[in-house]
Amino acid sequence: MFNIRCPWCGDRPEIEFSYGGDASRSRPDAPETLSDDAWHDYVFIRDNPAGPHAEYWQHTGGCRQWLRALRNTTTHEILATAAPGEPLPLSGERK
Amino acid sequence: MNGQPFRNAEGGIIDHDRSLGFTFNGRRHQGFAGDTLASALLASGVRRVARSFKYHRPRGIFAAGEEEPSALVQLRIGARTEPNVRATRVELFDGLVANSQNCWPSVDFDLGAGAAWVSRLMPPGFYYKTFKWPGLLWPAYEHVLRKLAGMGVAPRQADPDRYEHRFAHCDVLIVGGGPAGLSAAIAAGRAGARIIVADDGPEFGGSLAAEAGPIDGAPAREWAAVAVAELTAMPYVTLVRRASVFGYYDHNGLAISEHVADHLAEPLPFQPRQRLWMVRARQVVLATGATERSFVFADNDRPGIMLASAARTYANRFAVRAGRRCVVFTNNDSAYGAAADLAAAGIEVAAVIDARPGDPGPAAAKALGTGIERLAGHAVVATRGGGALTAVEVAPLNESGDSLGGSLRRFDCDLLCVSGGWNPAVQLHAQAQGRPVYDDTLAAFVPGPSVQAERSAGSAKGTFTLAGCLADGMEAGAEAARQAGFEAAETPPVPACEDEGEAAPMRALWSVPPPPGLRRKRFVDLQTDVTQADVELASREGYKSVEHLKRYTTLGMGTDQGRTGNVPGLAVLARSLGADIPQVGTTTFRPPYVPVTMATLAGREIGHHFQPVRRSAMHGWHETAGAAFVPAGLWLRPQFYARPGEGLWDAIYRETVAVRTSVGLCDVSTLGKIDIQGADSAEFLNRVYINAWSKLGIGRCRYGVMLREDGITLDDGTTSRLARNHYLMTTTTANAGAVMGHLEYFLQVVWPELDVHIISVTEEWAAIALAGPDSRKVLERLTDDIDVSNEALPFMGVREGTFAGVPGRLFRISFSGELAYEINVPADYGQHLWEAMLEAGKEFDITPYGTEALGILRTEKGHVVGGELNGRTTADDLGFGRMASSAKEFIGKRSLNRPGLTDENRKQLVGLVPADGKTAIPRGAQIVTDPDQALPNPMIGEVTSACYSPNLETPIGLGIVAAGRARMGETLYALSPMRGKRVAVTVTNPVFIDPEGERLRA
Amino acid sequence: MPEMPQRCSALFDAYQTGTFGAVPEDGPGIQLAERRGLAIIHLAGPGGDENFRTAVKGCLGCEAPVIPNTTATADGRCLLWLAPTRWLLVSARDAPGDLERDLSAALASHSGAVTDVSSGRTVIRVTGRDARQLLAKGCPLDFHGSRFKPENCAQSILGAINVLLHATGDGTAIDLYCARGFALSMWEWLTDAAGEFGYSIDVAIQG
Repeated sequence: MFNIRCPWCGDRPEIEFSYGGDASRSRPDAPETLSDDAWHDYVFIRDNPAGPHAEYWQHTGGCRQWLRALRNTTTHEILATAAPGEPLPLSGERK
Repeated sequence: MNGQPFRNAEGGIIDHDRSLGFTFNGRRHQGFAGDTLASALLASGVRRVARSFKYHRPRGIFAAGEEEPSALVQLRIGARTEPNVRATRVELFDGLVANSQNCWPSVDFDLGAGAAWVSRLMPPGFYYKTFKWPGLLWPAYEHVLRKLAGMGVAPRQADPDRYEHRFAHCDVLIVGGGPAGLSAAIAAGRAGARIIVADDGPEFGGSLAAEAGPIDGAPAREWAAVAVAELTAMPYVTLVRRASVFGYYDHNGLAISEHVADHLAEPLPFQPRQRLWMVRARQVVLATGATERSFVFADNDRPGIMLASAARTYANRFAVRAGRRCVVFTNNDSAYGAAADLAAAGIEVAAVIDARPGDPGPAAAKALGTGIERLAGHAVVATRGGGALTAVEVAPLNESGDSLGGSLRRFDCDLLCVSGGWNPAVQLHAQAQGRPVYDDTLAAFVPGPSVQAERSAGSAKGTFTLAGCLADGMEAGAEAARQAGFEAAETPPVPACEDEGEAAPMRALWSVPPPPGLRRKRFVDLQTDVTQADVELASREGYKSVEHLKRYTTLGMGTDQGRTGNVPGLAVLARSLGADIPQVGTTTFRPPYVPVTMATLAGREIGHHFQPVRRSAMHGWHETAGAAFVPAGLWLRPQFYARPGEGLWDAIYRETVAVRTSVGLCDVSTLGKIDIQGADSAEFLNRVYINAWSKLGIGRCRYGVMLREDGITLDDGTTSRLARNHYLMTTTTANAGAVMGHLEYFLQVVWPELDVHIISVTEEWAAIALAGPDSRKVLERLTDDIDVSNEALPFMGVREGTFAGVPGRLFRISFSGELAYEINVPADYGQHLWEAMLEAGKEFDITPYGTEALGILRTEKGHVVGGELNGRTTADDLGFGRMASSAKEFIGKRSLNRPGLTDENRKQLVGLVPADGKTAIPRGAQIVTDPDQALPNPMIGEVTSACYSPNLETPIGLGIVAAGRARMGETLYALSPMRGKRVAVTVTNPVFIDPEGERLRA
Repeated sequence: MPEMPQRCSALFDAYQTGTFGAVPEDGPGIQLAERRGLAIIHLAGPGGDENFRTAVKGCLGCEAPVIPNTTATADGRCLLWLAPTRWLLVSARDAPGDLERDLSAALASHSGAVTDVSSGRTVIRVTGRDARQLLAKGCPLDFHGSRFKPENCAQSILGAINVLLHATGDGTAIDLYCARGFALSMWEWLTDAAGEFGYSIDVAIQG
């Protein structure tokens, strides 16, 4: 069971969180200005990296805040978490 | 007559004054408090305890701890019976009943032992190879084979005991309470760290209890007692006995199975039998010890063959002689101390057979003394005996270990103690993603670099001296504490131990060649009956990967997970591949490390407590009224209210008709309700719904549809404007949680600049629908501060007021298509209002209706629910295409021009009626144009809702059909081949009742 | 105009005072009691905005805490942190409607939202020497005294039910807030789990 550091509540177990998908991309500000291909890529195309991957999680069993986590998909190590809008550190050791 | 002929009158750490009676295979025996079932059986002279899994060979007790591969028994009887229990792990209690497994009619005379006679016909993969064809007959084969396979018997009655879960947190978790574990605990505990120490035995100390030498000049167990006392006095230390750490999961999460009451005949009232601990540890010390292993030689499985360390444990801890006359077969020094202890306990040690050509280390030589014959460079090559061991054959072994020299020498004995070296218990380290590495000196895998925050200590790390284990533990405990933030943690001084001197190197010997001409089984894995020949055959057949070998031969797949058999198996495989053991590697170690009962994993989440239930404020009334309930997510909703003498359909029919002809009321509290406030609320609604919200007046509500980003419908519902910047959104019951998360995502992540605050108020409000032509008359009697006339409160109007004395909200909305209202009051008053409404509606025969009637009413009206909002339909598919605003952006809009969503052949919502006006339309049926077309018949749609309409007096249905709106009047076929149904249906408008909406505006 | 009826607890039918389970010689290890009649108001607003916090304090006499999972109590009112922009206001001395109205008025010129959820929450007070052991059976929070301290609050899960926990006073009593619909399930979970320690169900606390 993962231990996820909520930027507000601190270390909490995975059972308090809901997975929210790929966080390596952000929603375009003006979808209507995008080409069909660009929109299609945003909605449907996902990378499947072996290694660090930015993910959305929501602390549904806690403060209900969305957050981003950088998880190594091969080891499950969570390298960093951050509030939405905050930079997600790409490295940095967990204590 | 002495009932315990193999028990010494004194010694051990059992209570010789407390006799306990138990029954094994129907015979009464005696043991003492402190015994295990295994030690008590040995004391009583019971040698054959079980039959083996595949060949039904007699087996005895092989080990003294959790590594036991052979002595599996069926423990207890009745509801508490448990199969495959290791006799070495069962603490004896008065009245214990156990039976042998895998044998019929008895362990001494087993018909299944015939398997041994045909065993040459049963190579690995025998079942797959033999019973593979014809495949259709496999179920029949399986039925017979299952009876032959021995797995014990599962209880037939419900488990009467409680099983608990608990979460725990600590700075340092120490796994194992032997010399290294206790030392680590002392070191970390003195540093002030919060620690948990888990040991699988009833008392802490491990090998200190009886096997280890003196510490600080006193018996080792006294040092252990002092250490335990010191730890017990520390407020931040939790000592857990009878607790096996069985899983090491991500992020230093570990699972422990604590056997709280298994040592009792039955648990005390309210006491759990077992408890599952889910621990989050900052740091972990693995002091899991090491397991001795055997050799592969001919007939190395007879009862009477035992690990040397086990025989020593039985002698020292239980005052039990595991035999009368023994031979010790070893390749290392550790068995010398065992031999000496056995001799001291009164067992005649006939000889020590040492595979090493040279001398043992000085301590071993001293321990053995001069009175016992020692044969260097020899090996046990075969054994003799009927039901149990009677003699061993010994021969000189050449330098490479692959051939025998000289002649056989025979030793009569009833006990053969084997010591083929020691395997550090690296399993948890490996579960934590560590990669064990092979150590040539120890001929064993030792922990490699750690990935998670763990370190091994003591014999788990390959340190086998007592002083070394204590020092290792002290250092590991201090280091773990420092890493956990107790930077000042110091390594305590190591107490004085006897100088054990330098041990002589062991000789890596795995398999002893059989004497010429002797073709007997040579077992690698005793529990799964895998032999050296099996491993060699598998390797010849191409199973060269150790993972494949495991699955093909079942090596290491037993309840012991190959504790004693795996490494010899790897060695045999390596040799037959001409490779080194490190090249072959180990199989992946996965939880559970020890067997765990399903009940422990389930805990209290069974039966009534399987999952929580959500109840509305009126639930109690529904129950009293005899409602049948149906789950909707976690909610329980009334399905229908049958009156005495009424059948299900009678009740549903009555409830449905009441709403269309007079008035009904329905508990709709389960619909999701989201309170939306803030200056940008209207803008927010514009962005999440397809339709426009800017012009919605205060006191009005509107139906809305929201999409996912890919253009597919997410949910629908009404949203009311309560005040200038205050809205109340409703969602479907099923999607309430998903919609809330969706809205929070957009507010927190995408549009944080919007001044909008949302909160779920589903639980705050009891919601009651009042529907039917008489509903206004009922409403007039409930409220005196709202003008409910059609003029003052038109369709889709919203008011705040008082209902039966309770302040609440009134919505003129309709799901049934009738004149209808929904009243919300704070849930604490829900039942009060419900009862007041029943009273107010009495003269109109007001009728409570459940979800069945609700479903019929909405189907008659063509309203969509889960069957239609199925994650594949667009708003246009459902007929809401024109609602979508072109003047604004909204979630999902950008996807609406995708070719897949604009295809004119998309499935669209339609109504369906049987062409003959009477045949029911099968729910979930596929829709085709020609029912007789050759298969595969193209399916152009499906029936999403179907019912009998009491008001139209005909079956009706809703469906989604390709280009359905262009097919009005067409005849299609609803096919449900599994149910043998085929119904001609006519495509109609999906709104069957009052398509003009006159009733709901009345 | 009919009289305003009494509020009815979700536990009304199930609530039975007495002593149950394996009660040790020194008395039950757990005491359970429902807190009834509370005003519980959900407050949302910009926690980082000084003016907003001043307005809240001016109305309630009580700060909106900005440190996650802490609470502030003054004058019989308590504000519990829920999220960076959300708090739960609990009062034993106000009527829900009055408090909602007063606070709304005080925040009229601010971004923010005031929502009465008094009926939507059930509050169960757990006390006794084994209280934290009991909760650890189903809640993954670290209940150690150094981690879940007096006047801390936390939202988590207890027996698969979302719960807000508040270590009231000196931390020996823990108030559990759960959604009303789950109240009976939570009650059944608690009373089943408490059997091992012995427990009493005390008269419901008014306020």
